[in-house]
Amino acid sequence: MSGFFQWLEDLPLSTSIAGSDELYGFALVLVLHTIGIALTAGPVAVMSLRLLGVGRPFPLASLRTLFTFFWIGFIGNAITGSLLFMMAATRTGHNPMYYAKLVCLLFGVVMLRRVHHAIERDSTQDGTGALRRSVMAVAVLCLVFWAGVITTGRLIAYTK
Amino acid sequence: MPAVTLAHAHLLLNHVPTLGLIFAVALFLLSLVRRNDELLRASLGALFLVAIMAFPTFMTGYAARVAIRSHPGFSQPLTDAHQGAAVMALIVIEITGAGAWAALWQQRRHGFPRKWTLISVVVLSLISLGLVTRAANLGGDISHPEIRFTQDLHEAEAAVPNDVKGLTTPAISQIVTNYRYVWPICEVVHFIGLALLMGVVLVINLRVLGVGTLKGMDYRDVHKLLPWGVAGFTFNAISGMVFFIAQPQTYTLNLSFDLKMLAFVLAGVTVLYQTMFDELWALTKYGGASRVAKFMAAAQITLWVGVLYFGRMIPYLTGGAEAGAL
Repeated sequence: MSGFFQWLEDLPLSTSIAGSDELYGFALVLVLHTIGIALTAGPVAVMSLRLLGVGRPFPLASLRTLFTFFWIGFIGNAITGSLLFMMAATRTGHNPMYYAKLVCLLFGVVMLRRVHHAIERDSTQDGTGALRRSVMAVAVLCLVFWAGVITTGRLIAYTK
Repeated sequence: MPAVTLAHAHLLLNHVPTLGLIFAVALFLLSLVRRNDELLRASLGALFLVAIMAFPTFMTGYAARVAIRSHPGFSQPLTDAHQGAAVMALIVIEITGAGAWAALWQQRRHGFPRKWTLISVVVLSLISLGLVTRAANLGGDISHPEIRFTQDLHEAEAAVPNDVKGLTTPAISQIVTNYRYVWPICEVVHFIGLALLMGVVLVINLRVLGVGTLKGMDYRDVHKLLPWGVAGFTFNAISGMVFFIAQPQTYTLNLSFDLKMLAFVLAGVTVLYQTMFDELWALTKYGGASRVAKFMAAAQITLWVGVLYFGRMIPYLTGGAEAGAL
């Protein structure tokens, strides 16, 4: 894998962004990645909290628009995250924390799809009633995995 | 050198947590004595504003330190003492501001603030007054030997209160350096706080703007989410202060950080608007907000994105000036 990581890091795209003007290269990718975190983890937090009963009785269906923001942030972060990885592939590619982040991300998205399902199902009713415990458990897991994404993501810079 | 610097800003801003706090506390106590709800709301808003303004007041203090450190008669122990006392005052003022905001929120939610919240704000605001008076007094000693209790500098330095010494920049910086996991933990807390805060900011403001299905929410119900946004903000404020105090040279005289703080203060004003003014509270399901309310909502989203942008650009958009070791 080391050869593949080195090849990624040496690609013209990787070197041009890493070596470009500070304000519009690496820094801009970093800024966009941070805004992406706000657009993904922010709505996830609100939707999960609502499933746990915070803010009841506003109807769950009213949160559906948040999924649009989530997916915009998610696609944006997939792009900026890939660029950040390419720029430091030889270092990040050997860091277990990076793979821990990917695992949290995978489970986070799976849980979010279940949250989505719960919201869609609830939209057929008045959307303000008590929720089943299984739905609340999904909301807790969703919060845990997305907190895991942020935690492992931040720790990549501090671990080897 | 520009005619007006951050050192000047510190001289101007330090009146807010001192005179501003006296005014806000007096108004608050008067509102309780007279049992006047309007006065109470205004005084709680004033306490919240003082808490917001206390951040830039504290942070510009470092720029003031840079400006005077080469002056004859500059005393590092006296400056450290002022800084340590200011940290202590800042912490209590922020808790007071959070209490004042909680009282405002409860007034909206239940029609009146909880008794224990008001009692807490009374106690905290009086402690804040005492602490900020001491910080101001120690600040005066730095450049005004004529008002010191003694004209002898060594005697004045020896009289520095012990409790402020542990809160000076070098002491806190040493803790962060000695325990290497403190900084990464604060980074994690800062980003989790950011996500929580931005989630709530997005939902509340997109509702006011009437975006998509969010329009089906009653503002009174949406507002129940606000304490979670405030919790996220609290995470950010605490971790952010650790960063600042541990590495002031990174943030002091940094253009991006200054713009981040400006965006933060303005965002705080929009939060106050959404809590204090009545028109948003009349916003029922599928109701449209006024132009002013929509402007404030759009401004708040933009300002928080600005806080994110300038926060991330701190290492890159420096403005050229360097504070050096502090």
